[in-house]
Amino acid sequence: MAQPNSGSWTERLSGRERVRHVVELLDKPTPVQEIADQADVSRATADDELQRLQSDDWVTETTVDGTKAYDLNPVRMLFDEVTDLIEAHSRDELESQLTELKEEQEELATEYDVSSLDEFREQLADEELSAAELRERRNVIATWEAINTELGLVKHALQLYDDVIELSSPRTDSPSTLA
Amino acid sequence: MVVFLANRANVQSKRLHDRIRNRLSCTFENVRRRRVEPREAGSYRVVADVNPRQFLDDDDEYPVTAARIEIGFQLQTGEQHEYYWFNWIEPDRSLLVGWHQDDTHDDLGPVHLQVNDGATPVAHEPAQFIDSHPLDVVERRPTSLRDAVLAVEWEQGRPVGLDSAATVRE
Repeated sequence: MAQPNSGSWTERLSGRERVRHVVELLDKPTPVQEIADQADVSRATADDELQRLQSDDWVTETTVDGTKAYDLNPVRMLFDEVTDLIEAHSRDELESQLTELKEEQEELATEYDVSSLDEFREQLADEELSAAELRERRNVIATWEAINTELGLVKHALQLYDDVIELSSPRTDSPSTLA
Repeated sequence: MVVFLANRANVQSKRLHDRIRNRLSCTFENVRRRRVEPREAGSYRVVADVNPRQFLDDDDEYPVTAARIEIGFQLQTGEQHEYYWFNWIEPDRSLLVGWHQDDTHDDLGPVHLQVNDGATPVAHEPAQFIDSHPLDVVERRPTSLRDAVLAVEWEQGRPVGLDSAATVRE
C-alpha cells in the first residue's frame, strides 16, 4: 500500500470531490465503507455525499452481503457525455468527428484484413500467437473499442443535437401565450 | 433511431483522462487527451508540453528545451490493479523515462521505472507501488519525476541506464 506522501490528492481535493472521483471509476456495486476508504474520508462523509449523488441519479443504492452499497449509474454518465459533446461542438464539428472516427475504424479493418472488431477477436482465439503478438493484438482491440465507443457517443450527440439545443435555449415566449 | 450501446469501461476511461487533462492544465501548457495508437497499451494518453529547464529547475544546463509528459491508465483490466504509464519523453534525444505498471516485467514487481533509447528499453528497476486512485497517482508521481530524469546515464549522447542511487523509489 502507498505510504503517506506530500502532494497527494488529499491536499488538493476535498473529501467530497474524492468521493465523486472514486464513484466515477466503480465497476460494480461497492460498500460505502470501501468507497470511504478509497476516497480517504470518514464513512459519514462518504454516505452523505453518496446520498446526494443518488438524488442526482449519479449512483444507485444497493446491498453487498447485507451492507449498504452503491453503484455508478452508467446511463446518467452516458447522457452527461452526450450533452457535453453537444455543448462543446457545433453540428459540423461532430459530423467531421464522425467521419474521422469511421476512417480510423476502416484503417484498422484494412490493416488487419478483417471486416469487424468481432472478426478480429475471433482470429485472436483461433491463431497460435506468441506473447508479444497477443499483447499487440490486445492493444489493438483496446484502441478499436475506444474508437467504437466514441463513434457511438458522437452518433448519439448528432441524433439528439437539435432537441437538446432547443430545450436548452432560453425561452423567449411571452408569458401571455400561456394565458 | 438506431441505438448504440456505449462501453461503460471506455466511457469511464475517457472521463478519467478528461479529469487528468483538467488537472494538468493547472500546471502545464498545451495539455490534451489523445487516443492511443493501435499498438500502444491502454486507450488514452494525456499529453502535456514541458520546458525541462523550468521543470527540472536546471536553468541553463539541461541540454534540451522541449519535452512532454504522457500519462495513461487502463481501467477494469481483470487484473488485481489497474495498469498505468507515466512517461517523460524528449523527442530530440529519443529519450523516454517512465513508471510502468503493466505486465511486461513481473520479475521487478507491479511497477518498474524504465528508460528507453527510442523504442528500445535500455534500463529497468523496481519502483514503489502506489495503490490508490489514478488521480492520486497523478498527484504523487511528478514529485519523483525530476530525480528519475536526472538519474539517466548517458554515453556518447545515448541513454544507457539509470543511476539507481540517485532515483527515489517512489
